[in-house]
Amino acid sequence: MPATKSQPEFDYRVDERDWTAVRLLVEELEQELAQRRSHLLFRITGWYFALRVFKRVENEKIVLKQPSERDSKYHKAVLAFLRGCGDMLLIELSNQQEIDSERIGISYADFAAMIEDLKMTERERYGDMTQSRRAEILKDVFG
Amino acid sequence: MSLDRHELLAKILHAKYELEICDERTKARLVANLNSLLDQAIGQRNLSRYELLEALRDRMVDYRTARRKQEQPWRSV
Repeated sequence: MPATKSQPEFDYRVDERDWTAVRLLVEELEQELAQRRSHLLFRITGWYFALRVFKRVENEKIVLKQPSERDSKYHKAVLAFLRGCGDMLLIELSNQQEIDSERIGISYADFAAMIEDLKMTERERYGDMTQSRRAEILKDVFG
Repeated sequence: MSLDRHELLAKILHAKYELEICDERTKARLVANLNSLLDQAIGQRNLSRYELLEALRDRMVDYRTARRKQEQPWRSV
């Protein structure tokens, strides 16, 4: 009888929300956006679902606890990707007057606000402002 | 009527946190609210909203931690 081999992939806990699901969605979305073969509303829907999964993992890994270095790296990378894709989709949407995102239940204003939220989070968490400059601004603005 | 500076700071931290945890379909209203508060704080200064948010990073970390303890006290974070 052969000895049992170590199979680390079996150690993965499928019930734990992790970046794997987000990465898979991001890869799919990347292909969809690059090939531009789908209708714009379909691509926005794909982006929206990737965002929702991202937010769930973000909540679990970043908001509700102190993030590990690995979590922060994934968070930063996926955040930048979704923000960039969102910006591109928003430009396309604004260029196409006949397409109304309300047809998929997302108003233009809410779609733009989702992207703005990503930009704010990206800057607030990962901007490269020095500690001394941050302190200087807070002293100036809030005393 | 202008808000007291500390009251304004508390409102900004609250508004940013609410924006982070809200349903996507309420984001437009919450982004507008946060932008309005940031503009009040910035006044005539040569400062962008993003720069002010970045300056608030450590305050946001403290605020999130406090809210987490308040909302989910069983969590050991």
